[in-house]
Amino acid sequence: VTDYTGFNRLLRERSPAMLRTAFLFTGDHYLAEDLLQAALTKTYLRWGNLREEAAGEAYVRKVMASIYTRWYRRKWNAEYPTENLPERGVLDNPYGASEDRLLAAQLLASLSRRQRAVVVLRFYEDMSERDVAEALGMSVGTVKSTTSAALGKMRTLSGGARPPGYGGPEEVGA
Amino acid sequence: VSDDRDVGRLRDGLRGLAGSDSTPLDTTALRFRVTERARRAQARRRVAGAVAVAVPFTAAGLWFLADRPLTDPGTVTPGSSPTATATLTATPSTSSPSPTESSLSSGPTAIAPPTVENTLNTSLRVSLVVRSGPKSQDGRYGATWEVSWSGGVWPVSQVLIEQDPARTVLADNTIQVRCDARPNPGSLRGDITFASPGPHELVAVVRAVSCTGRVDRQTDTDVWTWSGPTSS
Repeated sequence: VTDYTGFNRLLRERSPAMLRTAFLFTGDHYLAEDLLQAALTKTYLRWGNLREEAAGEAYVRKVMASIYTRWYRRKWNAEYPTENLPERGVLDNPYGASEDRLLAAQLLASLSRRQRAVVVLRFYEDMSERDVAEALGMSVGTVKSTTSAALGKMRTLSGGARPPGYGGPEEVGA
Repeated sequence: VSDDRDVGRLRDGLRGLAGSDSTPLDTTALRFRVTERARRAQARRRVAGAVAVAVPFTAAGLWFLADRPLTDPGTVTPGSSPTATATLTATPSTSSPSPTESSLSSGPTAIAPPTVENTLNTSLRVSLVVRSGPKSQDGRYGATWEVSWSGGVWPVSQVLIEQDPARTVLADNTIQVRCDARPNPGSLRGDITFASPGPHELVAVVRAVSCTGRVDRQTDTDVWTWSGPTSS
């Protein structure tokens, strides 16, 4: 019989943090919650196979990235590109808005799902290039080139110029 | 240096953006939804596993039933008669030709494995008889052929008369019959003429086709030499 005590603790204590990562992936609170639910469900089903409880959170994040980048064809088509930035929180709270947050929001909105996942895992989760590559099923070289391109795009954005095709996430790179 | 500064700005921006979602998370409700989704996923897996086991057996059963005549005995009717002189006589099935078919008419559930085996072993039997006929006005040698058949699993739908060794088709008769009809015994007769008295080697080819396109093909050969008109 699988003991879910550790899982319950993970869900109770770490869900808010994992939800923030999911929010960076999706740019929408409700999609983020759905993504987190899906990842936690998969983790719950595999909980008995995880060797140590500490690996649970890393596993959830990995599953979340995997679902977000690979599952979108049937699950995440509800996310439509729009002319507006997915920055509701920033706009709702103008006193907390900063140039860096706007830049990050603009950058994420201009990236494909896989590129966005690389940026979030690499620069928000502080995962190594190797771990990111493993989590997303891509080569380390692809992670490097993606991060380099993302930084270049951010420089362009901070210079005031919008990247070509700006207006929403492009799915061509997924 | 520029890269480090950009990375720093990006990290700060992502942290700020992640924290901007101030909607509270109800972990109790989240746990309920997660366990509910997991329960449904497990149930789907169990159903999928059961289906995976059942599908081969179901498919085998349907495959067999699709090839079986489950309706009342069909009546073999003369076809469009490609050769005008061909005559078809069919024997109506007044009783079940075999215990196997009798059991089939009672419905699919009555089919038992031994019965299936016996049915499949029921072979189509074909007989060809050629008799001499009168000479035609242009001096050709007349003959009358008669093909009769019985048994088999599927109804006969085509009768060919060929001449060896080139297997030249002398007569091609299609019989209009439902593919799911009971395979009744029948016979077909026709006239033909030859330039020489023979001997001629004639082959009757009888084809029975199932609704799924499976073919049972049987032949019978008769070597015939014209010997003057014969009464049939």
